Amino acid sequence: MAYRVPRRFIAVPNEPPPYGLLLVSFLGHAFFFLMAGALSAYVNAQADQSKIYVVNLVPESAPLGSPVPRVVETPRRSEERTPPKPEKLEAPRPRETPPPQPEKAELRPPKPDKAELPPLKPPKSAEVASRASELTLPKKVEKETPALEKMPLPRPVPVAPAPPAPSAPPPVRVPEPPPRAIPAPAAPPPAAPPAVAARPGVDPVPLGRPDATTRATGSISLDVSDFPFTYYLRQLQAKISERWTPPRGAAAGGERAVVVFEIGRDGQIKEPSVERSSGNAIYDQSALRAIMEASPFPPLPPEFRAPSLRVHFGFEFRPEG
Amino acid sequence: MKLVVACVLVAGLLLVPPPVLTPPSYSQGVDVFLNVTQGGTKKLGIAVPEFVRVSPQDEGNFARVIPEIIGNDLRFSALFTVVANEPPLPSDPEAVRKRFADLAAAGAHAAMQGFLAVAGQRVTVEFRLYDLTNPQFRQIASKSFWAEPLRNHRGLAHRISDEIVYQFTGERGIAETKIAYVTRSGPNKELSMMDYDGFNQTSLTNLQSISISPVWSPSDSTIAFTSFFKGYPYLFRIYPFNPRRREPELISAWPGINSAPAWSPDGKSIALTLSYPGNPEIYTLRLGTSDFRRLTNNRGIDTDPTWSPTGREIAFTSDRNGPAQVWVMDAEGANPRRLTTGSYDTQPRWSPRGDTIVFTRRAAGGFDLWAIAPDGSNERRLTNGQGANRSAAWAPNGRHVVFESSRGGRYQLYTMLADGSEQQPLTRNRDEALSPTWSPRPQ
Repeated sequence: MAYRVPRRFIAVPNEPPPYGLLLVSFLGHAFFFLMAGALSAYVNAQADQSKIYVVNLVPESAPLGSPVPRVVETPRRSEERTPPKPEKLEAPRPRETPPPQPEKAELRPPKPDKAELPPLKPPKSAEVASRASELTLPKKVEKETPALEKMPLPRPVPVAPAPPAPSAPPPVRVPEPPPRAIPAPAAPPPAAPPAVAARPGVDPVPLGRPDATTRATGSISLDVSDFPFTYYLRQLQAKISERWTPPRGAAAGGERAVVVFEIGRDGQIKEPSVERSSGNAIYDQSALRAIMEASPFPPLPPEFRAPSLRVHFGFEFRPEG
Repeated sequence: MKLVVACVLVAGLLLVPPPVLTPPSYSQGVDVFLNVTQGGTKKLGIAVPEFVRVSPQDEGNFARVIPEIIGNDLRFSALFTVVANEPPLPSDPEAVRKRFADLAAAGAHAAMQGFLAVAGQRVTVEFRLYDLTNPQFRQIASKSFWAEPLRNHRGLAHRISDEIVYQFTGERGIAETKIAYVTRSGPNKELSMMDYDGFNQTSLTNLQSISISPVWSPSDSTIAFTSFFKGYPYLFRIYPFNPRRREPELISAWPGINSAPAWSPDGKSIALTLSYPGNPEIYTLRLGTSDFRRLTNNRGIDTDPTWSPTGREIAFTSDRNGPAQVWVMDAEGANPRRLTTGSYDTQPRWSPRGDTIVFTRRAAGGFDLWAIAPDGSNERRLTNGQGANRSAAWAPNGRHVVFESSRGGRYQLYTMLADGSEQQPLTRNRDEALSPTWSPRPQ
């Protein structure tokens, strides 16, 4: 029996193109992509706003020694051992909260929301006085760790990108005299990251201590104007250094790998990656693993407003002797 | 023609990547450049002065007591050196600056300032942390906690300690954890529980029988243990924080012994030792089911299972080769391999970090705690022959170990760091304290 092609598989010849259907299809697709664009814009806007909320979360820079505590959160501590969750403590405010006033300088602490923060004591004149000092305090923020400023940088540190919060103006940046004014020694190739190698045997630096000497400069190098929280860098360095052991037998000495990673506000990191390979894959892996094992890191300081901190961490191996 | 235009338009739309697909950009973050330091980690110096009282009432002298507890917690963490017993910080900002400068010159990297208010049965503490490594003395964090009733002030202090550890390391401390253990009173062995620092000892069971080997589940709510109170060594569990569930719940009651429980990292399974097949073998039990699975099958004794933190492997004690030694197998029982080479190695305990297994070795007639990496490298001795040292249990941070030791005469509990340093007594009870287990961090 001859095989008959089913009718539905036979093309109908010479039909005019279905312009109507094509138009409908085009309109449908256009509508879809427009909606997708709108949705993405909305999502991005949301993301931007969430950054602003992070700004809002900053606890007011309390005046040093203010005798009036602000009772910010009152997490429950009951007999059933239900301690407050850290996430809860830092829960963002509701969406309706207006973003901070754009004219607010970034380094100026937001004003305490008295309505939401029941003080343990009614406000009194002392508080007013301390509030006044609070306003003056941020002015001193311009200058950064003197020890770091003193250090002879191998080359000018790249200017860090603009601060994150889009609606917030750039931070109050007072002309910083020291680092760039210092005559730089012979500059390494510009591609090299401006980190300075730590010398083996040199003690970890008492970072930013008023009495820190230039010997401190070996291990740390950063654009101090943008991340002045030396305690944070110290902890970061300690945690990673504790977790890193150069691969036994696989490192000859002199290797140097630079790993870059981003720390989010909660101290969690995104996947680290090798920024500059040592040329030795095992060595690079040991550096990556050290970062992973050392994480999570401390939560970013509330006064630091950016959504994340990018760290370029150098691993240099110099065998003893 | 229209068709072509339409197709071009659609293609154009396709070529423009919808912005929703672009990954969130963190390009606006700030860059810092760091290098690895050599020479080990230095502890962070932190000043914990007395709190400032902001309420007239403070009969318990909490403004002094709570900072002391916090100081002890931070010292125990081995992450900090603590400057304590300082007078409260002054209220004048300039005076505070001067104090901070003095503290920084004395070696402190950070300072804590606390305000204490007591109202009725509620004690509230607001604390602020300041960075002293920077002449601006920037604030690191500011939080407020309260506790009720007043006698819970130790819990409040521990909560603050853990928050401080979190702010400086990114991981909560262990000051809020508990330790359960066996108390020997006369012929009986009962379960007890205390704060991780030895305070607030309470009794968990009163079965007038012998209960042994308590092991805390990863979910913090329940403890598995073996008890003879029904006449045979059956496996039970209790709920230490639930006063309505004081009766032990039966987990396993096979003929013979039901012993050596070990919780899987997800808390859904228990590895245990059953002897009903003739000699002790290791089984796993899916909780809430009767799904017992046999993992070992040989003529020797297999017992003391402990899970790796990934849940993929189980270390255990076996004498299939003659002497009791520590072995490792896959969690399904396959691929057993010997880890230690001693003549009597028992009680392996896998670290929550996964990089170390602590075990008890009998050598030259004495018991001591040893440690080994799961790949068999880096075997080292942690205790050095002062009395018998046995029954290690890891703290949830993987940095501390609690164990029983007879170095002081009676068996009592001691703690140390994972490298064997900073050994110190935890209990000084009249009754012997044995077989500790460390709770996870409260959820």
